[in-house]
Amino acid sequence: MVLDNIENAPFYYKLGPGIEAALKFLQNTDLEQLAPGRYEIDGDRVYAIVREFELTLRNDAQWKAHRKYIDVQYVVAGRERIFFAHAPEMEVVREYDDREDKTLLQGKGNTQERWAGSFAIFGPDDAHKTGTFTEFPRPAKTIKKVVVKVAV
Amino acid sequence: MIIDHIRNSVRYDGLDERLGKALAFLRDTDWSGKAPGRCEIDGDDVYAHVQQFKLLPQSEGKWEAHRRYIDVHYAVEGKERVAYAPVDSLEVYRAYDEAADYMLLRGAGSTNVYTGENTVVVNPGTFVVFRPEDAHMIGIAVDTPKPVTKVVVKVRVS
Repeated sequence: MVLDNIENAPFYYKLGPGIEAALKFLQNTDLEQLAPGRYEIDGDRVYAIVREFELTLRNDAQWKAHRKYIDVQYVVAGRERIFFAHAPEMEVVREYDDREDKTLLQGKGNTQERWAGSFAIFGPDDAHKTGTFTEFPRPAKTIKKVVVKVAV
Repeated sequence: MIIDHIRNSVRYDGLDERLGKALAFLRDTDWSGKAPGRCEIDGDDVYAHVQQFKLLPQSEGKWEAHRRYIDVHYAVEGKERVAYAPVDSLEVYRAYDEAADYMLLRGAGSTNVYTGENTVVVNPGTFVVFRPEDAHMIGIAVDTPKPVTKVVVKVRVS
């Protein structure tokens, strides 16, 4: 798993051509102007989903992990708290669903804030729970994010 | 900043040749019973220190950052709490010392060591990579201060 600010993105290009395409998309697109929806970067192999949504309480958010896609998550506006853990050490609450590319999990993890301009890369072993409120100084209510899905 | 289990470390080998050597060294060494001291990997470009020390109470954590070297921290025995914040989100507290490759910073970042929010518990088998942009607070106890064994690999910035 990677946590960093977008200006440091070039260091991570060599994680793979899909990750490089995802990071370059985030660097070179006017994301503030981009409407919610799906944007293709490289067909089904690399595509972006732009979302604006209300943050939730940490206990209402769901732990998940993917198998077919790596998530590159970027905050455009707002601030969120994310949680992360090694997926193999978590308890499965719903078995992997191939169509949704998702396993639902529960357990304990670490937490960090993500602010506008920061990104996180979650690989298949990185269980994550995102989109929850931060506490200080003043919690944002909504967030605009881009999640770039990169085929493994 | 990278945090992952050592079993996934191969994914990061290609990011930087010296970082790849550091990760391979961590993967390929049997760490059980390894005595504290310096390990040679590739001269001054990549070397490691095995450390055993008692973790600090949370109130004694200090933000530090380096310029010439990337730090790879690997937990062998015992749990350690660390924290990360971008260098530019903090204030310089002790100016960069070239010889020691070390600067101290202060500020909250987004971290609260008292509640543990925004800090990361590093369990055995986990490694963390701090690049020069990544200020870090290390060696903090998870609950009561206990001894840990860890390896810090210094990787000269290419």
